[in-house]
Amino acid sequence: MFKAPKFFGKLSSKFSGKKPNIIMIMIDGARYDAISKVDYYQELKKDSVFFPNLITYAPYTIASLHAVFSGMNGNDNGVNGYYKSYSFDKKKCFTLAQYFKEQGYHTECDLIYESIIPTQGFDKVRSHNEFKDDLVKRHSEILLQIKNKQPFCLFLDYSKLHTKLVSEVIKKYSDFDEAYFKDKDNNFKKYLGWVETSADYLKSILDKTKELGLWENSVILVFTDHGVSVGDKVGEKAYGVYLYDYTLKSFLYVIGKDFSKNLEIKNVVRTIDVLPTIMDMFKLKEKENYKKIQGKSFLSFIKGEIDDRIAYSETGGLGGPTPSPEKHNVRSVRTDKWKLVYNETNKEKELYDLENDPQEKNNLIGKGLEIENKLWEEIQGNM
Amino acid sequence: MNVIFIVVDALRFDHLGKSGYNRDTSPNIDRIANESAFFTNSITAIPSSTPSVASMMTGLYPHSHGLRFILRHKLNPKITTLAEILQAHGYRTIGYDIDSMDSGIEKGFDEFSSLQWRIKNKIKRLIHKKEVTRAEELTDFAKSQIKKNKHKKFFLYLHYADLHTPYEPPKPFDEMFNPGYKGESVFDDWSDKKGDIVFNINLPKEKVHNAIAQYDGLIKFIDMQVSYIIKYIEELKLKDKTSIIITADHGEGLGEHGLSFQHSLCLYEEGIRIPLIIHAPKIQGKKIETQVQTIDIMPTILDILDIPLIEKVDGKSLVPIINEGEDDRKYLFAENGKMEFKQNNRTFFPGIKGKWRMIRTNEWKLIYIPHPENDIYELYNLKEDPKENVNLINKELGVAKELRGKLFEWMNHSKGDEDVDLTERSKKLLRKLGYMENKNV
Repeated sequence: MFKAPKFFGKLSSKFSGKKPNIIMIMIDGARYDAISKVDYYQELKKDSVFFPNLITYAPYTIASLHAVFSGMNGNDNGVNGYYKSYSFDKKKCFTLAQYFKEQGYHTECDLIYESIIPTQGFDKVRSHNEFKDDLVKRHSEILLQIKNKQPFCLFLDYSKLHTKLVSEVIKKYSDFDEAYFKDKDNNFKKYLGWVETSADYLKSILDKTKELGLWENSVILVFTDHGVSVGDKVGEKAYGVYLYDYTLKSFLYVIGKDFSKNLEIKNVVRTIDVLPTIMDMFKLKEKENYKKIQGKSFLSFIKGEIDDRIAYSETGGLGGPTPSPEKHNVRSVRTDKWKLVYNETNKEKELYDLENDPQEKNNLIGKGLEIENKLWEEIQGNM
Repeated sequence: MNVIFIVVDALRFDHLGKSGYNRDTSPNIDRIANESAFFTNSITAIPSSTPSVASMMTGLYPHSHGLRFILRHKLNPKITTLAEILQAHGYRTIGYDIDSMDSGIEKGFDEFSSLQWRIKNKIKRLIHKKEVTRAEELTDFAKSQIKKNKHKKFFLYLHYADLHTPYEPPKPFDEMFNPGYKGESVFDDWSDKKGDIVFNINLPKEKVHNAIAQYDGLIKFIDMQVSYIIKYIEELKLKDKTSIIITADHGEGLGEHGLSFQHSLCLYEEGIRIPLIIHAPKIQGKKIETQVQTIDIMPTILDILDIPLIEKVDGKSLVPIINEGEDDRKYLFAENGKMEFKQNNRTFFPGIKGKWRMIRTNEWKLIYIPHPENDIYELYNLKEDPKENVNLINKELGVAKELRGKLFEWMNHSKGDEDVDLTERSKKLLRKLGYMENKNV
């Protein structure tokens, strides 16, 4: 379980007087059990603090990333449905890029589409061509150019997994396609190949940060926004329909010279906790007169001070058995051990013991477990 | 690979020897053009100096980079410039363009119009009691920088501004093309009566003829300055590892379309068609007739240097056209610069709203002039009527409709059509540059 870090200090004291940069690399749609089979993702743990249980607020990019950037879930920031992509409450939510901008950082991002994150606070919003652009070449060039603009806050979106998923799964199959759901092993194998390509990308980019001397003076976060289905549960060919762990479980690597290396923290942390954690790392104060950040820093976890967190998630599928793209209709709460899911449309509940049933096959609803009521209250509190 | 990027102010395409002009104005530029990709239909995105340079440096149309009026606007600071990219790639970036200082285009230059160098040079001149032209000063600067950086890779941007009105070539270039002229110069009252001269369609022929001879004399003078730079890089054995790009920010009207000695007011060929010469070690000498634009320069330089272009730009690299003749540029666009004159009866709104816009194909050009009652359109067939004398707007309805649709599509990308108030300092500078009359403001 938790291993105490060798050292954890304050960022500014270890960055030779210079303000450290922050580089966030998002591997869109990387599934936790696939990265565990890819060498480079495993090697990277040696250089980082690894959080394998970063639970996403929503298992699709737009809502997930708006939660990351605002530190609050969609019911507060406005992006709580596929069709609410442009409803982010710009006036009342102060975002990650704005915090850094305010500190005099150059802020830049490269995205598949500008709409996937709240772009306020970014000096430069770039978007790439998901089909034509070589992201290794492009992001290496961005790193080279941004080197002259330190300190900087850079967000890079690796979108190729998403692009493959769209062309090879989403456009080919329905959410109920037998051919797809019967072929889970092959689906996974194919998907694993794409994840391996993402690892090649990641290695090149992280090597580039070393080559440019940015590795030493940057906090680097590598994470995913959500996982994907490879045919795990009929009704969800990719993501965004259900709230099972194969899409809900995301991961985060924290790399920086002040942080412990080779440390894995398996406790639940949440995407809404990412912003307050970064603020904690960089000693940024929460902005007054804006909506209060819901998440809580998990920086103390690295120091060995763990607290139990309950991750609230929700989604509303574009397809699947109970589509609801206008407003989320499937909700869940998840602890280290338990998960309760409630589907508002068909009124069905599911309860899983994740420790003993990680595949979420055995629904324990109505078995008289005390946790059911406790988690139900928790869900209701978030509805 | 080094890059020397030379912009000659107000150099119209058809006054170069290489373009077939009947005066021997540019023997040295012609020589380098023979070894280069020589574009015969290169069009500026805006016939106004600093906004045009901004388009070259960013690969963007003026409405994308924001610098649409000299001194009123600055380059949008969020936009990355060619110099910034080259600087990130380890180039020593040096620029010299005094008129564009503080416009934002100096971003990314390690040195821009070096004040230190200018002071040093001025002291030297005072000691030696030697008057030098701006062009000579620029050439000296260029040579000193080439020497200083010969062991590094460098990007050197040079803007020769001497060809601007009033045309005052040094001796012997002042008499070179109109020897024995003893009459008055059209520029005698230039500072006070600029508007009267620009819009006067009855200027005495001999005065106009002499002014054009002075303009051509200046071209020859600048041609000589350019030759000094080329000779110098040959002497230092740098030519094989240096790309040289020679172009202009805009052309110059010399009496065509009822307008004289201006470039910014309209969008006719004399003001927008400019030379473009791209000399690089792997490029063979060839003439390219396809229309291209100043916004293509930045992506082309990056392509030559094998630097990936990650900026979203309006222009495209010209390397595929040079190497394979490939071209998918169907339409080019431009807006005019506009000058403030009380005599200007062809601009009907103040600020950006009054700007002319243009769409051009290899065969056609449509000009749009905003008007409070009925917008004005002019359509020219550039193949059959290269001087743009016959407006076919009421005859070629299909072409006009297609071009108008495309032009408005392009104009819809335009952001921030509001004008910016001029400060007193800016007004003073505009007057000094001759872009504004005292009485008019």
